[in-house]
Amino acid sequence: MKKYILKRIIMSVITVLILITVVFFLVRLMPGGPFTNPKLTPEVKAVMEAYYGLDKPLPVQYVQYLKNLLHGDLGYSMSYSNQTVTSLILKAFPYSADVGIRALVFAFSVGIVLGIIAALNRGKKLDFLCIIIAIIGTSVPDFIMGGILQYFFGIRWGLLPIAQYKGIEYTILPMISLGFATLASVSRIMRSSMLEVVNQDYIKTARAKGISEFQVITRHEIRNAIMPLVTIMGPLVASILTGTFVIESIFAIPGMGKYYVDSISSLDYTMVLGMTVFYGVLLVIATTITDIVYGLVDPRIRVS
Amino acid sequence: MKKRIIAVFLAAVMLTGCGVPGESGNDAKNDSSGSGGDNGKELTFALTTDPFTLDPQLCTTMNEGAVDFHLYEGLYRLDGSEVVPAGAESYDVSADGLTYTFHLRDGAKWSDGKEVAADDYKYGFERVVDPKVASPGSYLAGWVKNANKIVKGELPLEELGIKVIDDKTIEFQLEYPASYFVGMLSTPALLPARRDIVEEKGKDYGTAPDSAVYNGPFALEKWSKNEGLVLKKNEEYWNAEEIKMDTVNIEIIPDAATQLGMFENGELDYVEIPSEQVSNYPDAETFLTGSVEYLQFNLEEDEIYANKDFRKAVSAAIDRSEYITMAKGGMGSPATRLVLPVLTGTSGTYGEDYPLDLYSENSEPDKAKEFLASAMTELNIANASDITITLLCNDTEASRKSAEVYQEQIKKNLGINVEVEQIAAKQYWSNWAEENFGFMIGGFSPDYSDPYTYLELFISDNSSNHSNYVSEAYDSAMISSQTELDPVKRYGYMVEAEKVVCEDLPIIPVMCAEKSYLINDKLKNFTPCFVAATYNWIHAEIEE
Repeated sequence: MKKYILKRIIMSVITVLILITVVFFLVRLMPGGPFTNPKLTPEVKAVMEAYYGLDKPLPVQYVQYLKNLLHGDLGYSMSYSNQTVTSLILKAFPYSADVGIRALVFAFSVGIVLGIIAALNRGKKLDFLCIIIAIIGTSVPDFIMGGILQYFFGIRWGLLPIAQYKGIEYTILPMISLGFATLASVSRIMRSSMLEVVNQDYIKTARAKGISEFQVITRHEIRNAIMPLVTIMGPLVASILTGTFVIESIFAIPGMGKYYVDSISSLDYTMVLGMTVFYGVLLVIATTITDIVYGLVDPRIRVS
Repeated sequence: MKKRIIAVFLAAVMLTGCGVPGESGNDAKNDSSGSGGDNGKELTFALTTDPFTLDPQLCTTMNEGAVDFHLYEGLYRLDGSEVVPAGAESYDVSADGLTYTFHLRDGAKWSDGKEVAADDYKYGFERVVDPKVASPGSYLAGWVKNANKIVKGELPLEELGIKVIDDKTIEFQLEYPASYFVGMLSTPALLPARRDIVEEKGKDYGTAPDSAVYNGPFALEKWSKNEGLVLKKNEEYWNAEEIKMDTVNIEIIPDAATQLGMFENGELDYVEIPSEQVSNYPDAETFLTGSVEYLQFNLEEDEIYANKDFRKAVSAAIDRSEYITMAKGGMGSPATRLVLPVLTGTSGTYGEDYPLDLYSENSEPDKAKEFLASAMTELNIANASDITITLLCNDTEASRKSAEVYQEQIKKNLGINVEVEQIAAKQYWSNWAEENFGFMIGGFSPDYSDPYTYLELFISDNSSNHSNYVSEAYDSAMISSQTELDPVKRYGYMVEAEKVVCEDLPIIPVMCAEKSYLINDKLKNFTPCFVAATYNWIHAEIEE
């Protein structure tokens, strides 16, 4: 197990390194540059480029970037004057993570319950109800869902705040909008996985042993059926924690989603790279943890 | 065992998910919606993006400008279309119009209690021209003697034409008698800075409430990244008793539709209506944003663009009012000249003092075809369909829409081929600066309230003259305006120049951009502006 984890970590570092290299050169291939304000004089532009080291040859800049990265220095943002990428990310990440975690808990808890209900009532009215919820979840984009929720809960009924992130009541609408699509897929995966498990021999054995129906469901069916969900959780956690542009924008949540989109459109090189490193590391950690958790939940994987 | 692991994991997730990040604990009193309480009289509105910085010498956008405009006090202040004494009480001008001496107000203080000194103003200007600071606003100080040479690194900073006579007197040497500069002194880049604070804070200067001091009507109380800013009335401000608002909340709400919803819920006092929603609010008031949109030719790119009759044909082919309806949702007024008419004139606004009505609101197909015919004779072109021009636009939805409307109108009225080329927004202005275009959608927002801000762009050796427009008549009128001391004569030269450039059409003025807004009925004197800052709320008050 130790060897397995060590191997995974080395692989992860290499992955992140390749990611940085590719993004570093790709973003420079994009036409234009970070300082293209039409009112900027050429002299000032040159000074600004020199300030950020953009006047040096690209390989030199690359080596310098990696050196700085070893010290944990992601550099200064090119649009946010005199603010480090690290400080911007650290301010924004808690918000994105907060919405993300709430959305995940909401999606998994409700999704799993719906999936179980659907599976236990296969072909009945409740099953159809769950299917309808799942179809709505997968087919309605999150920004439309957000807009509808804002309109009814915020404007029409005045029950919840429309936007911003200042207290517990502000978190409800973003949580639902962000989590709904995940909820739908979780409930579908849970349902089919339950149905598969129900026909397994060990369930028949359990029933034959005379275990009560409730215990068969909770101890044997759900526990085994939940396995496939662990697989999708890793990547999902990383992507949902780092924020989504649309939801954060319509609910005015000061998270990271905005930086992803803005840094690319404004060619803020250091910010693009900083976000890539951050996201890459997070994704790699999440998948590694998933693999380990998977091994804990399912002994068969550990053995192989 | 396994179940317990999952349970523990979920419990951990739930626990961390209980509070909200940031300073949510004491947020009850910061809630923007309530009025009264600790915050006194409150004004709340929203911006779509967080300021990148509030260091006046580093800021680039008009929204940042609006915040700095209220945090700092320049020597004089552009208040509406009036230029009023602010940090200075008065000034003297030398006979040749090249030396201005400002007398600072006694008792003006910074928010930390220190008296405002002449050196604070000088230091602001030093920062803006210092190549080490690399201020994006350095070109705004070009009228100060030697400023441009210092920016280019040709002269040391000590050669800047600003002298501190004593603590309350400061003298400006000018490059040429640019009398309009007094109205620029509230432009963010030219605001004062405190030497001791800037040196102490270093790179952090202007990035947080406690990393700067303020001498304006308001002081920055709180700034949560991408969340919002809170400005409190600055009790040290010399004219504090005239300031009616105690608290100004600036929320950061990126989505315009969300802003509108919050306004309707009473959470905001002012909101701008997104263009696609404008038709739902027919009674909303509008204001000029300052931006004049035009079509720009590069006269050196192609002989067809160099042909004046051809440019006139394109201008006559454009239906300005149809363009505004179709591409801008009605948010604009047709341009009849180059210069924004609401800029300061000699007695009233420039447009009132010197009316010019050079372009028709609608297209004039017959006139257009006549011009095209003579252009074709001059260029030896037999068929209109042999002509193909390429209109450059950027990859934003709005720009594409505009280009399509222009394309349609020119095609229809001239019978020539028009292709649209879309490029990345970030590359767009580089192409412009490198003169790598023939025909593109351009525009200009004024830097100060004087026609010169538009007109200097087309002087033949101006660094922003990317049309490569050269006209002796234009240059001589502009040079005369630079040295003329009598305001009426000076304006006369500028109008003369404007007529020349509007006739020669290196650019085709199309429209003055407008925005529509909704405002709380009780809120008075919160005014949108068209130069340097987006809003002015110095005189704002909430009626009970």
